[in-house]
Amino acid sequence: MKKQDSYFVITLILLLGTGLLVKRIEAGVPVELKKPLESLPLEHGSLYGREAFDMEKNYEAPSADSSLYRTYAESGIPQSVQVYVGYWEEQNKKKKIKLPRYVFDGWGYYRMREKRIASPEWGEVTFNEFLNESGKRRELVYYSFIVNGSVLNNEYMLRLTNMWNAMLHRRNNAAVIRISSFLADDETVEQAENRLEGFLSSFTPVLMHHMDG
Amino acid sequence: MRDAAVNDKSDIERAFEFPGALKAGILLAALLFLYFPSFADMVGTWRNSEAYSHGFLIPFVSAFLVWRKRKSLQSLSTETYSRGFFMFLAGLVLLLAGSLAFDPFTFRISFLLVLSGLLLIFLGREIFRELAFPIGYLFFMIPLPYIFMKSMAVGMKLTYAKLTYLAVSAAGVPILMEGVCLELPNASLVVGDYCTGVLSIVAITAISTLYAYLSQRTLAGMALLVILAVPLAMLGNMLRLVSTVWLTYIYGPRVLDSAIHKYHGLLNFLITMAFLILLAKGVSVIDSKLAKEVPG
Repeated sequence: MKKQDSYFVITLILLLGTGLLVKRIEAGVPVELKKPLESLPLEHGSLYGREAFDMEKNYEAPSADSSLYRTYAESGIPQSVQVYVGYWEEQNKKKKIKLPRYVFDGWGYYRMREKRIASPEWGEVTFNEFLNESGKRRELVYYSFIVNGSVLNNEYMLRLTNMWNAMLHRRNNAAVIRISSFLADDETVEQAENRLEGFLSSFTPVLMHHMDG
Repeated sequence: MRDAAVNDKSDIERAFEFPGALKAGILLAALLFLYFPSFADMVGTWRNSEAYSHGFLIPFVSAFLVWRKRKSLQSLSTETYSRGFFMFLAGLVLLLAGSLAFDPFTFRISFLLVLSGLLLIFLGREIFRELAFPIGYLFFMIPLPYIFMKSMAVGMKLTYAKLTYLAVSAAGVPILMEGVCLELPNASLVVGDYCTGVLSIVAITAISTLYAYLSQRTLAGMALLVILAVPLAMLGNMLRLVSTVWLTYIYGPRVLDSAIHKYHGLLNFLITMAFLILLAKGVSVIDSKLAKEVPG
């Protein structure tokens, strides 16, 4: 066989083999939650939660297999905490985790940074923090991702972990958690940070018990 | 006579005669099997997104660049180059990575490497060298990743807001800045994602790359023009933002709903193109000097 003919056969086999592997990857295995997100307790410390369906309009994540939109508030304190949790049993071209770093129309965001939050049960977890603002209106947001029972704040690590799991275990399930709160006019960002980080510190372990892994 | 007729054909023409054409057709079919769904989605993006509508032109530009080289391609000899497998395999690895990550950008970029690898393997280095730019130019038809665009937009919004604030306040306009919000006495403005001109920078880079390739003689000259085009585009966008704020201060928020604001971006793009042509003339002077110092 001439060299060129043998190269032709090799390249054809590699192309077709890769194509079949791609098809296999695309047919992954969905992984269900340990417990449904709706069973997350409505009472959390001194806060009481209610379903907040109006939040769905802001966060376009219709591709999640399970979603939770809630507002947790404490009586006498106007500033509530908005919680969004989305879980994907499997991801593919048509449905995958979208960055929860959205803004409202006409708003801008900045102050993007990492925050380590101490959690009694889980040690330290890292979230991304940013401030949404429009004029005097401000919203402080924290978000992170959950894969294999770990909290990852870096979207590239999320993708790499999903790729690794897809290759080895044919699964790429993952979740995103986004919490936010509007600041009072006289509230400093540091005060809002303490408020939200206190919430996250106790809420994250509860949430993790609902996740797989 | 028959020998003369056979000898009239170039290596590349002979490569694509039967059974070469059949093999090329089979490989093309395999590539279509792999890439057609993703490229069909990409065409959908071109159609639905104003910012990526230039994607329709890129394959034609690339084909035109290949056509321009037809005489030089016919004079080159083909070879079977086994080291082309490195590029080919790298492309397949990227293809797998793009599939695993459901990242269409990586998946589509892999096409350029796979195609380049196949050309190297079956047509050889000389012909690949001639086709490298036309193939590489196809990069500009591929929509950039959403994460990358979003991150760029965030950084640029803050930078533009700050620079616009400095420029406008230096001109004596009373203005306050809070993050990406600019407060005038008569209006509040927000530097949004669209205002950053990230996507017009992509288009301008594509145009400047082509212009550099066609107008400059040395690689250094081409690189210089492309590198300078990006800050030029950003400067053009800055002028757009400053003039929008200035006009809003003078005439009020109705400017934002007017035709001025609507077509401001297009006018700015055309002005940037004009500056690009002037810049290219300047770079050509340097390029000519470089070409003289390094003959051939």
